[in-house]
Amino acid sequence: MPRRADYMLREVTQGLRRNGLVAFAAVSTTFIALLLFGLALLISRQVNLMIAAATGNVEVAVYLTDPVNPQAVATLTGKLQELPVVSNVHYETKEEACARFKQIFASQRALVENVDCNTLPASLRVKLDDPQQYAQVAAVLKGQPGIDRIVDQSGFLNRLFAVTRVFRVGVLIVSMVMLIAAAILIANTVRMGLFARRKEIGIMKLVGATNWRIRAPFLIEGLFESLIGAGAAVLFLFGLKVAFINPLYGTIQFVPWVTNRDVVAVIPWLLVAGAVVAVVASMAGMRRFLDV
Amino acid sequence: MITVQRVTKVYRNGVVALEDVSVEVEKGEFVFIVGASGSGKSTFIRLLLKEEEASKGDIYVAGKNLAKLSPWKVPYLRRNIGTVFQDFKLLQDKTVFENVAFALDVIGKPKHVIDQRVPEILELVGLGDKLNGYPDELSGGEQQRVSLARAVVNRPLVLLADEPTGNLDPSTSVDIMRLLDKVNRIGTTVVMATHDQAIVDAMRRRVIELDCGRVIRDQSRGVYS
Repeated sequence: MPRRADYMLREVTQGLRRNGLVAFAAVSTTFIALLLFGLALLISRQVNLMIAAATGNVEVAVYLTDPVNPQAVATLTGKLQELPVVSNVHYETKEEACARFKQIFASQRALVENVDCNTLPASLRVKLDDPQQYAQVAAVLKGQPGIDRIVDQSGFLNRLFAVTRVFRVGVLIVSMVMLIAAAILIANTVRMGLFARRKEIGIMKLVGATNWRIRAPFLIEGLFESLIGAGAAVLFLFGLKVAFINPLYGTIQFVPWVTNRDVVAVIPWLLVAGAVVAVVASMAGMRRFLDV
Repeated sequence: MITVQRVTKVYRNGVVALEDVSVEVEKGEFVFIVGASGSGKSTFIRLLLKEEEASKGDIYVAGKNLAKLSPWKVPYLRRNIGTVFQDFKLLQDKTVFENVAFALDVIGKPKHVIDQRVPEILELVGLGDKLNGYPDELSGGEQQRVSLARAVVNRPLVLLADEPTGNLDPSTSVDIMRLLDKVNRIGTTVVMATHDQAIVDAMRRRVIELDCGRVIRDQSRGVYS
């Protein structure tokens, strides 16, 4: 039904023109809200990348002496598994360590090419039910042969988490507040549109237009505003990434950075958040106006 | 076509607009609802459109029990009811043609139906030459004819008219009444609320008189008082 689509488009553009300033406020607030939301997601991603690089998601790493003695591995694994606090022990060979390294630093080719896999030690990766119980592990392993070094990563992790959590939560909260503000502004543009066209709506009701027929243009208008905001936020996120992250590639070695693919992965979340906010806001804006 | 059984309407502020009103209107009838301002004429019309709910009693319009009609079906009820008001309710930024076409467009009628029916109905009300005029270029009588065209373009079973001549001078009013009569003669049931004595007396149709929300007279081929 092209004519119907044409009608809708006309209604929507008319609506946007009619209250342009409020629509602009709604679009720009949505933009800032979704930008911050996207930033929060990317920060999370960056933190996860760093944690993965630093620890491979393991609380305790038991680095083994080179060359590895298979019997020592068996003994150590057995002793660790006897401990109730240990949930999982994984023996990571040199090859596996090498593969993980390459995966983490996939974006830094120079690093991958120049590091000799032979320098990466084999290790036992120990997951603990309660990371605080590191001392138990240390006690059991003390004096055992074949161990090069035991690294308790939870302490380091906790500090990293504490700093990033504050940052991430802060950005998330600000983005939520902005999203609420955006919702209110969108509801307001929808309501102004309804008010400007109350006579038309009255006639539509009288001649028997369905509620959805009356609502659709306003709903689309709200969606449109929000998706423009989301689109701008996506572009801006790419801009920020190119401006601030790209120069870091290769400068600070050993730290993996978010890639374009990570930014792309964030897009659906921004669109969904924008759409949900717009629909909820539009419906809320219309609620009292459209009672029969 | 319309059955109102012992209907009472009390507004939220306590005003009793209608009290124990019973009216039966057959298909194809022409009925005047008369009475002073505040006698309940407009409330009666609003109840038939389900713009308001009756506080007590039952209302049937075109075979539907309005109290039991779910909200999403109300639009479909209204497609069977044409409405004309004192203030015309035309959209100033649309042409005569567009105003009438609007009523068909928003209920999803296809373009070829609109292009056929709208000129036809405007011809019927005598505005065949003013399709592209705007409401503010028309006289009051002409605007009311556009409004009437819009009310009947979807061929409703019932036409409700609330003081349709209230804003018009006597001779223009007569023109509008001729049109309402014409609409009635093609089978449309017409219910018209009015306090225009001359018109009621001239038409000699059924008259229902309301006073303080009660029916005090129901007379076929009646006069105003």
